Amino acid sequence: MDFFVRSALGCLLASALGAWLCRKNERCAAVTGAAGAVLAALIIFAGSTWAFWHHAFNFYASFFQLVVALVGAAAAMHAIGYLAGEGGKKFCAFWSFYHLTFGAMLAVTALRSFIPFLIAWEVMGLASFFLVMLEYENSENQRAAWIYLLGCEAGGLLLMLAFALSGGGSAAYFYLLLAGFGLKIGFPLLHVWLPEAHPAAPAPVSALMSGAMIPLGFCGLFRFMPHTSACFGHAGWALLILGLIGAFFGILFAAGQSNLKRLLAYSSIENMGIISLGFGLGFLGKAYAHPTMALLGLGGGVLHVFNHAVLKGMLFLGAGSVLRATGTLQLDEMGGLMKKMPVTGRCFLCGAIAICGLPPFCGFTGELLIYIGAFSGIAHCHGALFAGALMTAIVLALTGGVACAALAKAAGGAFLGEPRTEASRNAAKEKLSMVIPQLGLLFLALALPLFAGTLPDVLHLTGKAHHLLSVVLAKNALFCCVFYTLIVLVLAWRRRAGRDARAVGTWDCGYARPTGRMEYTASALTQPIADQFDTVLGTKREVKEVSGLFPATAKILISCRDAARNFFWDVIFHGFARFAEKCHALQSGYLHFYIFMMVLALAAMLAWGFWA
Amino acid sequence: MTALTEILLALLLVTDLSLAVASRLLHSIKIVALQGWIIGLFPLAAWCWRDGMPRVSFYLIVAVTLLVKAILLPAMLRRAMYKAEVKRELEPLVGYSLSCVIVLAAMGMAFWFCRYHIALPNEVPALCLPAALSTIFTGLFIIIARRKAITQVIGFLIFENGITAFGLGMMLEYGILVELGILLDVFVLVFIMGIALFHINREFAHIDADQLHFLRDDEKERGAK
Repeated sequence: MDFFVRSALGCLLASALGAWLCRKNERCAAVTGAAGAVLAALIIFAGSTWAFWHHAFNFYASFFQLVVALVGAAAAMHAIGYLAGEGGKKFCAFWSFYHLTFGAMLAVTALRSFIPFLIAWEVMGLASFFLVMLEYENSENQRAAWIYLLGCEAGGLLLMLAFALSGGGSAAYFYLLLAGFGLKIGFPLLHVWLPEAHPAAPAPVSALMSGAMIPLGFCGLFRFMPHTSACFGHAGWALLILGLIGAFFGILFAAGQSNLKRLLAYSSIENMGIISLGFGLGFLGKAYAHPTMALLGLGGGVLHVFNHAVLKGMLFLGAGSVLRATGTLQLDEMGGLMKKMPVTGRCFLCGAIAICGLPPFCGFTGELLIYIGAFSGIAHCHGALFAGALMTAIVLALTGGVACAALAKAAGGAFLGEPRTEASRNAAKEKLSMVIPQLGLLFLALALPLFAGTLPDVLHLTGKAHHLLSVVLAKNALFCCVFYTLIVLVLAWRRRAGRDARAVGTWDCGYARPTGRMEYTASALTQPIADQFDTVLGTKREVKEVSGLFPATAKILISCRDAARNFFWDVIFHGFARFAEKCHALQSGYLHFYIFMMVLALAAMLAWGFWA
Repeated sequence: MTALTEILLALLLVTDLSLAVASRLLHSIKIVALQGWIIGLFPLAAWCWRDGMPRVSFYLIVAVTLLVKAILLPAMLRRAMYKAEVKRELEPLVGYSLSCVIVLAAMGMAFWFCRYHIALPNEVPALCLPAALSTIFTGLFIIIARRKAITQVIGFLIFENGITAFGLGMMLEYGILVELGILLDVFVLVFIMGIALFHINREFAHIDADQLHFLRDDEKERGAK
């Protein structure tokens, strides 16, 4: 741990104490807490800048610290507004655990040896568990938090197992690491805690967890996996396959959700998939000596980690603002929020466009590198590698398409059109403290493509590789400049020309009294996709059909449960529960029987000791 | 001296068998006391007197073992028995003839196991390990298969005797020291058990350990289901 991380941790500690001391005055506590987080982030920025100028920028440490600090500061500022009116007790709990999580995340990036790393990792999981549990009055949230804790602890156990085996540096070690960190990252099958914990957690915590905590899994994985060619091969294939599945199915499930934060959580799974596609390509390139593919894949992965942090932070904060304004997260109960929350709405819209990988925002830059990497693989590789690169390009394209639909659903359903319910009609105004961090992140999202040119220096590249990456990024920056100029010109022109605003009923072809409830719902936007992938999504619909000439009521309720949970974990856990239920018979209460079981166990151990 | 140790160990085996079929508690306690004598005298029999006299601590250990195992513990058990007013193990969970067969089978297993799976150093009597294992097993068996709590204490003592026989017979370097530690534990345990037995008896008017399952926590929930 260097000087900067230490002082950031000290700053967080002081601020948590300060927030506790002024717990009587809510406003004072909030400002103290947020100020501590922002100050810690500034210290980290200073450290990164210092490291950058002194050529000591360590990718694992400094880069991920930057990501953590960025999201941590933004989310802390948002929390001032988000938590207003929650009461002093909760306030204290929030700020102490928030700072603990934040500090543990910084420590995770900074620690290099197993045991301290593992301690920081566990603290991070436990502290964030309490944050997820913050709104414990709701039993749903409690359940989600317990699932989250299970996920964290299972991951920790796997890591301990891996570290216990670490002498070997074998394939088993790597796969244990992959599973342990994968539980945090949310690889397919291991992702089940994500869509549960994110909707339950307060929005700043979701932002912190989704933007910064999940990618820390990659940080840990790369730090502790053996850096040998054989391991790069394993890692490449594993990440590529997990990425292919995670990206596509993540976004597919996102499209099926009707809860805004759950949708964003699935989108996080998708983005982790895209990141692992990039890293997978990179490792495969390294293992099979394709430097171009390696470079572009790794570069794309790194950039996308940063992009995802910025964008997902922004989107989750936006979702939090919406929740505070309307009191609901159900997309079908929102609508028309753009008029009430103009800044939040525009930020969310930009974030949604960016996270789909559409130009000119930062999301595009990362995905562009991965695409070019995949294309170079297609052009120069043969056999399995060719197939992998081809699949990457295809799945990335497919994912991008579905992502557009899913996020159009989120942004459109929440902010566009007319309010569908009273809740969204009477939405509260947005608060300054909640808007500023979103604007800051939006600025970053816009500026990142222009400054992505520093990436080759961040990765300590030289010579040809430096040149290759610089050229791609410079072209992208140029393109973005042109695009931004065009957008500004169009906006200026429209402003000059003036806009005539007319109020007309929504979609009133022949209806006497059109209302907001008649417009397309968010579910309707993605209904074709939901129908197409019915078998995968396991869409359940409850329909009460329209019947008769004067139908009284009709309704349709579409829900989509997580396939991994439904078909995999539930089956396993229920089977285990049944087994445990059977074992309960052993607890008969008869002393003799217990002693008998103990003797049996002893005898078995003796036999094992002699024959094994 | 080998002959004497073998005789003592054979006697130990015989006491095991007779404990398996003993129904009167007083009888059991007497046999346990006899086992205490056998085990206490065993080091004296096993010592190679030709090579010289043992140290003073050796005699001390023999004296303490004899005092605790052959005199104190049986006396405490007898006291507990009179206080609890139980004389017999009336309905054992496993019948006496079956018990005898099981203990015999266990002895056979012990001999087979020691013969084929353990290489012993020459100075250890060949009978020592099987006899010790059989005694341990008999103790465990009596704990499992008898109903009265006091019989289970007896079973525990037999079990402990087996461990002592094992330690003494193998002439482990620190075995005697460890033995003394265990002896202290057992002493305290039997002391406490004696008091507990008295109180259990006064509360429930019996000391049947198999009735204890009525005290189980979830009994009411189960009934509700």
